[in-house]
Amino acid sequence: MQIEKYKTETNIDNLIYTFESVGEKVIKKKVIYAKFNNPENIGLPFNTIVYNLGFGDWNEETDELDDEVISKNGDTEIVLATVAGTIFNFWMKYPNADVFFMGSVPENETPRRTRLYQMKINRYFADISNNVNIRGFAENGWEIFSKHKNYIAFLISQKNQVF
Amino acid sequence: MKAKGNITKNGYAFERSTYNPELDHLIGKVFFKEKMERARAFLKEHGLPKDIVDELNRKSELEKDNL
Repeated sequence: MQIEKYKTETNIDNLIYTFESVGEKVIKKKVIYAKFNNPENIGLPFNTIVYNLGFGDWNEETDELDDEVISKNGDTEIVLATVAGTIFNFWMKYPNADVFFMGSVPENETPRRTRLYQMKINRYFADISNNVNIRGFAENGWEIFSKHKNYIAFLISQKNQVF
Repeated sequence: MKAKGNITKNGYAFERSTYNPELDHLIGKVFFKEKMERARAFLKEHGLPKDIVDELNRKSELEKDNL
């Protein structure tokens, strides 16, 4: 499958990525991988290596990210493919890490972003499922990702460490 | 791989990000504080998949044995 993605730039530790969404407007986006420190404090094994994936529009004036804004820039597919593509750069430096993400739920809204991510996972990650383990959290707990279920959170890890 | 403007098109073949030192000043900055807290609360309540936890515990035991 041919998937369009924007070119990305990253920082020295491969945890911060930036790219420009080019649609009706040009919007600077950033993707951030943030480690869950002290996992034993939340009941996880001390050697857990999990990073939270977040992304949003970058406000250069405030140096802040907004992950709840609805950009309506006409390029959602390309943006999400670009975000997904950063995982492989991330794994170059953190091959044993798992990546966790949940969609943002702005006040008075349903978790539609999480559903949107799920649709894109269905589309994009099917091609790389030989290398990637995708798990979703449904009402009965964590399970291997299935196209036909709704999840509220996701966990992605390398199945065969490529990097 | 085809490239058009700042868009690339190559399926899921790995494509390396370019290093931009201007991003380094953001190291250590806390983003999405509220979202991170929500995610930590979620993991505290629901944990990780059992096979991952089992594997982490197995590695931990191996490390202890090797000490």
